[in-house]
Amino acid sequence: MSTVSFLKNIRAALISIAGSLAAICIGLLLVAIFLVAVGRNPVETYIGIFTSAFGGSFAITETFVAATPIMLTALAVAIAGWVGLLNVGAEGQLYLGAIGATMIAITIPNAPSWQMIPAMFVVACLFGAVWSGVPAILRAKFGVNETIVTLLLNYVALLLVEFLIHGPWQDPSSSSWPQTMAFSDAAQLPHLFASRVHPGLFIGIVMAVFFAFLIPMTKPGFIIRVIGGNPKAAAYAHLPVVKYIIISMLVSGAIAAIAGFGQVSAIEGRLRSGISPGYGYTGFLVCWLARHNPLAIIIVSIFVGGLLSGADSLQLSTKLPFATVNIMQGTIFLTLLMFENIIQRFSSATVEAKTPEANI
Amino acid sequence: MKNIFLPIVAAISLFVIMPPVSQAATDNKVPLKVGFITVGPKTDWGYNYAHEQGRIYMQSHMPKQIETEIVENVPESAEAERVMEKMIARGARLIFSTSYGHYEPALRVAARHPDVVFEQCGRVEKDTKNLATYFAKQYQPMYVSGMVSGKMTKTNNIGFIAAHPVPQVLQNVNAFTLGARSVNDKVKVHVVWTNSWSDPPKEAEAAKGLIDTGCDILTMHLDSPITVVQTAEKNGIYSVGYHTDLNKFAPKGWLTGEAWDWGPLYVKIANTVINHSFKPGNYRYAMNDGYTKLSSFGKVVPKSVQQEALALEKKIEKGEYVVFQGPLKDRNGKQLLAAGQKPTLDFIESMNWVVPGVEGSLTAK
Repeated sequence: MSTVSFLKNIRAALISIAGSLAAICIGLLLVAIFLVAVGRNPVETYIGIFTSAFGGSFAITETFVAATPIMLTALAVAIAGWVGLLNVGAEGQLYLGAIGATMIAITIPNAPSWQMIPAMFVVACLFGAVWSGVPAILRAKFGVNETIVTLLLNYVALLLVEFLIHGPWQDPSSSSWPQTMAFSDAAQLPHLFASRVHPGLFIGIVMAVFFAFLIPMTKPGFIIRVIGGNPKAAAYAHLPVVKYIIISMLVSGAIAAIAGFGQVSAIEGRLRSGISPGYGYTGFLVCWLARHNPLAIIIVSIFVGGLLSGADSLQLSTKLPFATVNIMQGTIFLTLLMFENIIQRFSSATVEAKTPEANI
Repeated sequence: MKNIFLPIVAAISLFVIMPPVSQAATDNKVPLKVGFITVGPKTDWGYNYAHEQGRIYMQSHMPKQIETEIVENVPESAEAERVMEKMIARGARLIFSTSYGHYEPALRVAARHPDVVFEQCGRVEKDTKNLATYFAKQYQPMYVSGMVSGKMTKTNNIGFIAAHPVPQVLQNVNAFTLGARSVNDKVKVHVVWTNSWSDPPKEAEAAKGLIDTGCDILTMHLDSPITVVQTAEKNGIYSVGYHTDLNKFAPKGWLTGEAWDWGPLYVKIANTVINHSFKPGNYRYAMNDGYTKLSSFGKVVPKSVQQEALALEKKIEKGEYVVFQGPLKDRNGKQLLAAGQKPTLDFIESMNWVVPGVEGSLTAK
């Protein structure tokens, strides 16, 4: 029984990935019209983007670097989605993770890395869980809409970072530039394969695989699916709905926070305001494209990471202005979202399900 | 014994394999690939536009020796590392990291690529082998612009909309105020911080707020001067520009301002890399080098004031007057330089104080 549901899970993942790919191709066709209009060869342009994203070990590792926070935040959105909640706050939870990690890195700067890294990790997760815990409790106890609360908390998180880097945590040696001091070597996550890829990528993949087993094959997974399918029925059946909603949201926030921990510890080496160019929102999009399927999230976030990282080549080899990057990404995301409906119809016919939660 | 031997051999062979910076940087037959990154759009009529104009000048003056490429809208974060790495992978051997916050990413990339030369606009480098900083003393024309403003203001209240309270920006706030008060000691310069190099809605809001409180001249230190200049023009007050000459955008209210001309410097820098004479360091150029200039005067500036400003410009160029020379006191009355003392590079580049006449908090919050 459980093997069957795991296979179903893989089939659902494949359908989402194939659908996303088809949609990306149609988006690229639309952008090609634009490229021809501005006098560029679309084939050469796309080869340039592909090479810049996947051509050679350096390009691939940079794609993984961009995919890591997207994968983690997409998983965070998925976990909340399985119990029927919309967590739009992955961006804010990411920033809280960054704040938590930074707090440890700058308060005990001389600690050795075997103490430092675990402490940063735990505190980052705790901070992220607090940020998602507030909307979880408001939702579970008072029925407050979690979509609004998580979304608005994103802005609070950003302002909190601004406050810290302009105020108490500002680097005393950087003459009013809004950033914290550089982390000590012990507080910087090791890089892998002589690149900027860091262990966050593997945390993301391991988590995704773990959930791909947990949700369809275990008792807690079953309860989550029932709550996600129909919370009223679940409550009627005396399932611990409140407990599961709160735990799911706490885990969701903690996983988004790992993305923030990775950004400050492995990528920036300090806290500053631009650590995420909207990874939390991109993660939200990726989660829906992957139809909340953890295995599909792995692949789709690598696609999208490649799209973000490869876009540099539009300016470098094709000599187009930055606005073209927005046009291309906007068009592709739009076609992806429009195709979401079509994919859903197709796969619900085969997997007999309509809600993304029930596909797991 | 074995395990000591291997690292030593490895270290020696590294020295043998790794050629010195200047030699590896170029080969005369192949054009030098030059990469530029800018924090904002290269069409902003301001800071990034000025760098783009420099790049175009450089490309057209040495078409055979160099090949340039530019990536705009590069955030001041590790995103910049990725873009610079991609440029290097494509063969760039000289990289201009043009924004203040591109410095930390540039340092990291520079450490990984000893055979690539980095040129950082502004900031102060210490102990780098393949990274130099360059800047022109933009506060000299701003001092002269301040003097013109001191003559032109009727309300004695001038608004200054500024991005971040970093030394580069404080230099302008202080030089402008000193210039204004050198001819009119009633002048007050009201500073508003926007916390961002570019945030047009916030800039327009700050401009309107300053106009409402009675300022009749606005100036700025932002990536693009255009929002503030146009808001001032619409409200019938004067403006002093920064980065580019915007006389034609504000025919009624334009006074003057600072404008960059990076092109000739970029040609000079590229040549140091091509003929192996690059040396790291902190290069600062003055008004007489021509990379920072006084903008044209607006129609409203009387001839007498124009002549006085040009005379002051001459005096500064000849070194007869040094901006920030002693005696110099900060707003709280603390003595910074005694009479006759000249400011050093460190003194100017670590500026974290404001002179009397500057109103408003020194921090952004």
